[in-house]
Amino acid sequence: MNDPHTGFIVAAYALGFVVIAGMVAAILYDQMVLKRALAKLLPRNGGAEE
Amino acid sequence: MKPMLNFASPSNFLRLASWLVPVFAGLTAILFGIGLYLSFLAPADYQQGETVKIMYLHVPAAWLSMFIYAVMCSAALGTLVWRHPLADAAQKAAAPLGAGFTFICLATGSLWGKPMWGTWWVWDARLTSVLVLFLIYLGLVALWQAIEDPGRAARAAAVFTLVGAVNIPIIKFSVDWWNTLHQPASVFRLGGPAIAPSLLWPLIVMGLAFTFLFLTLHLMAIRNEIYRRRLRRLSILAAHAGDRDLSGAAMEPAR
Repeated sequence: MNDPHTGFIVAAYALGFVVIAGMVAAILYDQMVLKRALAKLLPRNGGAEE
Repeated sequence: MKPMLNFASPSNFLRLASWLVPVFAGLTAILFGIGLYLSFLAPADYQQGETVKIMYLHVPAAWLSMFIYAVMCSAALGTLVWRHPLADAAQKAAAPLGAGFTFICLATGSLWGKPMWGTWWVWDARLTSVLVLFLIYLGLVALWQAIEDPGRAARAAAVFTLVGAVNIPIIKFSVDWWNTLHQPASVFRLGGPAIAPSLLWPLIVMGLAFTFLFLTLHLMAIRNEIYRRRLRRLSILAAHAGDRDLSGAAMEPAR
């Protein structure tokens, strides 16, 4: 890709990747924390699943 | 209506989400693989050169920024009309995702604007109305955090969401109503898309990839909201049980 604006293209894709990865990570982390907390309150019922 | 509401019960939703999330995640990965491959192979634009590749991120993010708001408006109606707890969860789960995709839209637009327009930002009607949409999303996220009772927060957020919906047609038609630096609609327009098929197909696949990404993340986030409500309910029950134990202990004679 010999375009004078390659830096802008790479920056746009990098930024998109970082924001999407951040949203995925935040949701997965939230899920992990909630499941752990539910498992503590419901030790015999298998935690969050039902 | 009743069977639909039963189907949308949190327990049924959790069962449905447990198999929908992996299916949607798989579809998202496949669509992103194909979409990025096609985007990379797509020809350069005769005026913009390779910079047109930013379109494959910018346009799907812009589409989602409005689609997510439409989803939130439907959920807001579910909250206000049927008072359905799943609608509350769907509203709350969508707001941060809407903010994320609107941020991608604004930032990639800025990175596209600098080489093409010679400026990072201009206060024209399209850019300003999308910035207002981003601020509305942030306001909704803040509102959910500010009100402790989930029912009251849901009703306040629903009203705010429906009032903010006035911005969506402004975003869509801003390029027709006012003289803007931003180009007019070239995909969703009367008379069909104005883009060459070689550029349009990668855009459609990337649009589908982004849409399935949102659906996957939204289902996961709604599931988290259901867990959060269960945790809140169980914590309150545990606290009440603790109070009873303490008051029972207080009634016992001292030894």
